[in-house]
Amino acid sequence: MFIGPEVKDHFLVADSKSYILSKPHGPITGQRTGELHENEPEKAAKIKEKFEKLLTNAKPLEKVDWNQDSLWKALQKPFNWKVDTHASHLDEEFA
Amino acid sequence: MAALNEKDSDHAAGKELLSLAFERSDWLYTSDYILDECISVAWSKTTKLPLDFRLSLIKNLDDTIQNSAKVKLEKVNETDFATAKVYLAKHTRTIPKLTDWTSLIVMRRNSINVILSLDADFKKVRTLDDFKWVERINEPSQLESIF
Repeated sequence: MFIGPEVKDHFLVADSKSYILSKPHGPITGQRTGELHENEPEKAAKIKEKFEKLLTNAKPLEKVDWNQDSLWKALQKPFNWKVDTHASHLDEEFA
Repeated sequence: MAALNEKDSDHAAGKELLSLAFERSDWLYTSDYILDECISVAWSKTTKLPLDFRLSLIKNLDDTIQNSAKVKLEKVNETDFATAKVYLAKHTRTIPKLTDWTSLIVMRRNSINVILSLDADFKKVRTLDDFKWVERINEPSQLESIF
């Protein structure tokens, strides 16, 4: 596992001239939006350079801080589903 | 689900069990079918709640499992699925759920013999010769003797 700095915007470089910029979005399942930038070679080259830097500077993660693990955090502060999900109530609903 | 849902009747037991397993073992395994089932239950049980809440619940659940460095998500393959269906047809009275059989087949393929579950069916499966190796853990004290 490698870890690097968190990047705010997401980019997808289509080719040396065009790229797609995707801004952070809310938890909407199955929906992705982005801006298509066509024929902007200078910006596309800069993004490509940024990717290469990210890869070069990424360092292998040697020690995991388990207190930051998503499952551990969920166990320490469980989400309130507002309904009982006990297994004994499930069979009739899936029948 | 019991461990992650504060409102589940078995929440305290599930949380204690999974927390201890998290601390004691290098890896925890689940399958894409189990995650699918959890998401389906979260969705089907919350139909009377606001859509935004339901979507955030599913996102939270998915992120919890998929982003965890401790959890390995095993993929159920075609052979697992077909084998599970054969066992279901043959031993419906022992375990009547396809997802449970699928979990057992995935465990067998990956040489995993311990399952954390509050479901007593996994204890019954040991009565079958093919599944005598299954060690079902439903109490923290059992886990302490293993790790």
